[in-house]
Amino acid sequence: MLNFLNKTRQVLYPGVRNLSNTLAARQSNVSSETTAAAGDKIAVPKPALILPQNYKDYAPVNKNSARQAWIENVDAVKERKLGLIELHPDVFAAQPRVDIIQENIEWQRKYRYVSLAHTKTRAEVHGGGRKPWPQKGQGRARHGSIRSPLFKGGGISHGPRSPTTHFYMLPFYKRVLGLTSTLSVKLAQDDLHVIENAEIPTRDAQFLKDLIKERNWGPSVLIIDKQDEFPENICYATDYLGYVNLMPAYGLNVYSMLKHDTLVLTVDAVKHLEQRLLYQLHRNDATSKGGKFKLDQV
Amino acid sequence: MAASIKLMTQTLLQRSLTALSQRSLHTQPAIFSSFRSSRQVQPLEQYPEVEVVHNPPEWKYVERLLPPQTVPQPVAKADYPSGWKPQTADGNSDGYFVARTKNHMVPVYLHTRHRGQRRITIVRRIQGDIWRLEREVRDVVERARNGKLCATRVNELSGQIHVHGDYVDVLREHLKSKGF
Amino acid sequence: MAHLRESSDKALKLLRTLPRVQIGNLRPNPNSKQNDKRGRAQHGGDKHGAGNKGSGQRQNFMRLGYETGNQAFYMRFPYEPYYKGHHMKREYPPISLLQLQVLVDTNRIDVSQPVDIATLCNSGLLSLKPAELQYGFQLTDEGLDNFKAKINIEVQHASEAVIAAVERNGGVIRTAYYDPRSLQILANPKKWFEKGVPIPQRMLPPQDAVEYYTDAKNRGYLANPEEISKERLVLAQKYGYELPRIEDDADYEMLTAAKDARQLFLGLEPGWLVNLVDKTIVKLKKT
Repeated sequence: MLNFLNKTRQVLYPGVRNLSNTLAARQSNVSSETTAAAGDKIAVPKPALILPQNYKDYAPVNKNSARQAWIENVDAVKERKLGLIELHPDVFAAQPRVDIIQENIEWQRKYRYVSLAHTKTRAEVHGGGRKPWPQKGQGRARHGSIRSPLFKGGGISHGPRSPTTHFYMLPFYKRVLGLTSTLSVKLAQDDLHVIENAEIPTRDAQFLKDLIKERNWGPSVLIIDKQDEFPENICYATDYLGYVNLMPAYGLNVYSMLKHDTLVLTVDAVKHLEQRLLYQLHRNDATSKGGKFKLDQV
Repeated sequence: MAASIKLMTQTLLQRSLTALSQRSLHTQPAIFSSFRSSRQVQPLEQYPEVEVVHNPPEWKYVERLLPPQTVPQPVAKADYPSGWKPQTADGNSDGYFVARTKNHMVPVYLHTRHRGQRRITIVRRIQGDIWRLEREVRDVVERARNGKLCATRVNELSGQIHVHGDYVDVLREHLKSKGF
Repeated sequence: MAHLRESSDKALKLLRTLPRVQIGNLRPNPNSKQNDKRGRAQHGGDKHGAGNKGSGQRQNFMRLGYETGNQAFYMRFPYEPYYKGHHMKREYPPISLLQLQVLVDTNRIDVSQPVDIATLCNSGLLSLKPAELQYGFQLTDEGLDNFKAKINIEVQHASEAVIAAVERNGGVIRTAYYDPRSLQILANPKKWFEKGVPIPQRMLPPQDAVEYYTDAKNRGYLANPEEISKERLVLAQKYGYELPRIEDDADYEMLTAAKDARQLFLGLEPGWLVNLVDKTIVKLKKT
């Protein structure tokens, strides 16, 4: 189905990689630079990752907005550029529809919100069954109950009733556009970083704090990997850091992306997100997604 | 094998169900409604003997019944009798570019409002010099209107041109002839 | 190609100079939210679109067709047979030959295989609602002159001109009846396979459809094949084209592939169970 992803996956593994001469030359340049920059601490000269993409299956709508991102390391506090990844413009350089982002935020707040505000009607307020005074002859206004909404201490008419759900579904493609817009905004504002993987060397939270300070990330950081099982070290390190959170790619949402200042994606997560979002933008049965939301739909 | 396990579990469920229903015969618990609506499992001897065929030769007939995941790419042909054409221009010579839709169609649409009294033709997905395309569109439409003036509206942000009146076919043909 | 800069690029470039987009600094587009409160008095209170007095304000509209005491139009005539049995009538949503040709040109349907309802629905552009008494597709004659595809198609209704247009290109057309349950299955075969239920038999047409589907002129699936080949010749002479010989065609197998009258899917027999996960078919054991 996704030819170019397979190809890029092939490129990921150095064993089956075949790059053109120019690419290989650039790659050797970059790798020599990186080893020089890294100093004596990291002595393993790994070849730089250059992940070009094949846009044959999903030709970008926007013709000339290629996007690239550095692949950074997380095995040391010091920043090294391990390579470049090409990003699909339809996902990472889409029209930044801030209004759709706002609609997504509002939807994410509301669809799970149940209002518990509650008032009693005149029937529910205690007492008030007796006619307070006779209908006629007192010179007073006629009343049938001391709990009528006109009375102090009476019932409330048209008040809030608990529980009131605020559930609704945003149209499917507004949700998709919300994700692409937010990713594009994050990339445009330099708040999106790509890391090679989530393997950090220690369980120490101080390492992550230093790394975030050194790279000028954050303060709050959301780290996304493809799988929901993160490496052990990063789990321990982020356990007591409230402002650094881990999330699998399938849980990525607009609210979390905007709640955190910096979004950090692993290479796998970038590819997974691209594949899923491009699939949604090009799926054959898109019309079936346009209908009204039904509670029993899959 | 899997089918027989399923049947066994179903019979077990059935037994527990009958135990339940003996207590309250006439109440219909909602959670069992799907079981009630389906046919009850008969004694297994009544079912015919089946065999599970791996790699069946008929699998190609199944495959052609499965829809493609994404919209297929059109294949290059010598001619397209329906009048549809693949996109050939890349916008370098024109200064503007009109992208095709996901379904490989030219993005020209008709919007009708006021019970069909106001018809507006909309050209979407325009990139580049939208004002140049607007001049062209105006030219083409005015020629179709025998020289009468034509009203247009340009939305540069969303890359759209709105043309007063129904000129969908005219504009679509024009864009196709330019290779978009 | 810097001149082809799209507005999204400009917007993204602008965003680089703006503060970080955050939950706190988002707001909806101006004027996009409608206030659902109705103001009173000086706060925008007037007639609120209801007009002055009467039905508009009180929402006591007269029932549909009531003419304030006159004998209403709909009651004036004792019997209107036009809509008799409308709730039973079979509907055949149209697809034109032009649409079909566009589907072929844009590679949405594969004409190297026989085309039926499932193929058309799987294109993702056409849909069928058997619950709304839609009994399949009818092929209409729009774009008849530009239809050039050699195709083996099965539809539920076709006019004479359409049949001629298909057969002129060396294609084969057949009209066939499907009962609502079969249609529900054909409208989305994948969803149905996932249920894990044996393929049912297709029902025979109801009495008022038998005549249509046994007529060779309509290329009915229950018609005598010999009469159909005769009618093909007759139609070719009537419309004045030379009938291509299917027997000599390279795609003879494909063009003559047809379902049995009780068969739902081509090549798959009723009673079989298709397992999409394991790619197996459960068949009856032959004794």
